[in-house]
Amino acid sequence: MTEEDSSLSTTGLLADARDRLAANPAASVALLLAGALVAGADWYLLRSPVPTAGYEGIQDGRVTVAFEFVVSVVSRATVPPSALLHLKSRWLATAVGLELVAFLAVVAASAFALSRLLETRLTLPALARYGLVAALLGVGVGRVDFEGGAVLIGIPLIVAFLVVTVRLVPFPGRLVLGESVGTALRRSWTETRGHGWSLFGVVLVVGLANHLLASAPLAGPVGSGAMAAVHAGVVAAVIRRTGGETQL
Amino acid sequence: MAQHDPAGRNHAPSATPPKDGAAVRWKREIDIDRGFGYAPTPIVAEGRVYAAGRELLVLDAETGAVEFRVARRSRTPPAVASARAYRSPTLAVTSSRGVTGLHANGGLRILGSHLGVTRWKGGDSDRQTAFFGAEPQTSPPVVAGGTILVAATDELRAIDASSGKTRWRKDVDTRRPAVHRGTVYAAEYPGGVRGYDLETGEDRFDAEVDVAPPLSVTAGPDQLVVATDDGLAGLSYDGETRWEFAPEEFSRDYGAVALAEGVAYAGFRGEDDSYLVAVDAADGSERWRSETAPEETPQFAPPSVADGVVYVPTEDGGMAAVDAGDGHLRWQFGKDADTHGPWSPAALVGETLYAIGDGHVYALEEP
Repeated sequence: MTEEDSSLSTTGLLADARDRLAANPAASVALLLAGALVAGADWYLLRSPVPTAGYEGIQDGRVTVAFEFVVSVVSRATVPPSALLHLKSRWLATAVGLELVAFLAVVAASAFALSRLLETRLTLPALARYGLVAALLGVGVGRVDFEGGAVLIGIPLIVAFLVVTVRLVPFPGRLVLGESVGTALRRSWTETRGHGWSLFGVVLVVGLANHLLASAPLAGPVGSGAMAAVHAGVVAAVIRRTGGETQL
Repeated sequence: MAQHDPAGRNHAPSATPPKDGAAVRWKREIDIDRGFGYAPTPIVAEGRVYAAGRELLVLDAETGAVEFRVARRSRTPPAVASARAYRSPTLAVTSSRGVTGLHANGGLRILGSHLGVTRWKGGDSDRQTAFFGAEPQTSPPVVAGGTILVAATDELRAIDASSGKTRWRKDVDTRRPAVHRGTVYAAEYPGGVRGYDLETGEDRFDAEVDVAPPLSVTAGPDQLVVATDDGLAGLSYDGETRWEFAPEEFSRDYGAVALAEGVAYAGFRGEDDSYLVAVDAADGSERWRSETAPEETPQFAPPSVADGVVYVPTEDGGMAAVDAGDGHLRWQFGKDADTHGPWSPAALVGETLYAIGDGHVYALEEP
């Protein structure tokens, strides 16, 4: 086993992420602030007359791995699209505005954190590309969810989804480095070949911790912001240890 | 909502439904479960008729034209509640899966289809009311202001009609509650009648019925009429049992009571036959008994009262109109055509009686 291979162990990647975060405290601060902003938006929405879909946490008997393709913060109160119909203009503006502000804050904070951890300059096109991907994933399937009976029923699907999640761990970092979506996907896929189990361990540890912290009432998104920083640190560690040059 | 108002009186004081006979203004086919029990009462609000069955059918109340359908099976009447964040009311639908808030006007209409009908989902699918020997049922939702009250096994829950969030919940085994002057009254078998603040859920009232354990409660202007194991009882808002009506030859179990102009109307089971009985709510004396008995599967159907007439779905089929003054049968409709089980209780609005019978939603008016 080479030295480079051993550094891509689960513990090695988590330790590297810790060191990178310690060296760049602004990255953690940005994501914690974004988490606090999401928590504030959640707090307001949960007390408003607007319907919200809550986050089912560990106290609800739900165990899940909350690990998305992009670095993100778990919200405990999202407004379902169908609930926006026929809202009075004041509440429509409030609901859409809060969701939008929270989303933009998380995108900005995660892109900023990744750029600091990757020691690169964040450009406007890279930020826009990252935000667009985050928005698309936000309305699609962006989080690994395997729980209860679903484990038995959908094992092949879950395994396939997990493989994709593991192989795309560096993807958000590559977007921040300025690569196109296609290039970022391709390079993530190739550079993680042979490191699947180590990255699976990272996804499991970070995703489970994210779920546990996000389960906390009110402060859940702040805890999720902390785990988003770890996620960003891991992304930076993987990219730097697989050592690929940026191909624009 | 079911039983007309939050108090559960089943009295429509401003309605003048068909009195001397019934003619069909319109009827519309509905997909309902064919069973022994009566169908859920259709409810009328915002110029629409909402009828629950294997699907939720929404009709124009004036013409009977189909406005939209929702693929949602329910065995209880829905309820319409004002929602403070919305330009249109919330339609609360209960099922064995819990309570769901829908857009009462059907959500987004695109190319003839209604999309995004659901506003919120609430409740607990594990909680449902089951009657011995019958299919599990849920109590109909009760609306008071912007609050939806739902009784399920071992709990009473108050839900914000706009957000779907639970305002408060109580561990109490009860059926449809009744609301009067900001207090929610619930019969807790076999304990007594409890009262909770509508807004906060704070305990407001606690009284035992001296004569027998309570089964359900109707809130009158100056007293509660409590259906008990033995019959009916009058319970003052001070918690004092004023009277009891429990003749030895009668029995009854669950089943709602109508209360109009100082008279309570309810179904009773005799030794051989069942009866619709009118009881003076001032002293508990019997005014009359009619052999036009309400359908009693799975429980006595609630009578509906307006303009001196009591309307009941009958045991022998169809809808009957009984004179509130002396109990004589004024007319009966649909007795022979009943092939889909008993008729539903009636909803009385304006000059029209709405009910489900013979696989159709009917709008009946004076001939």
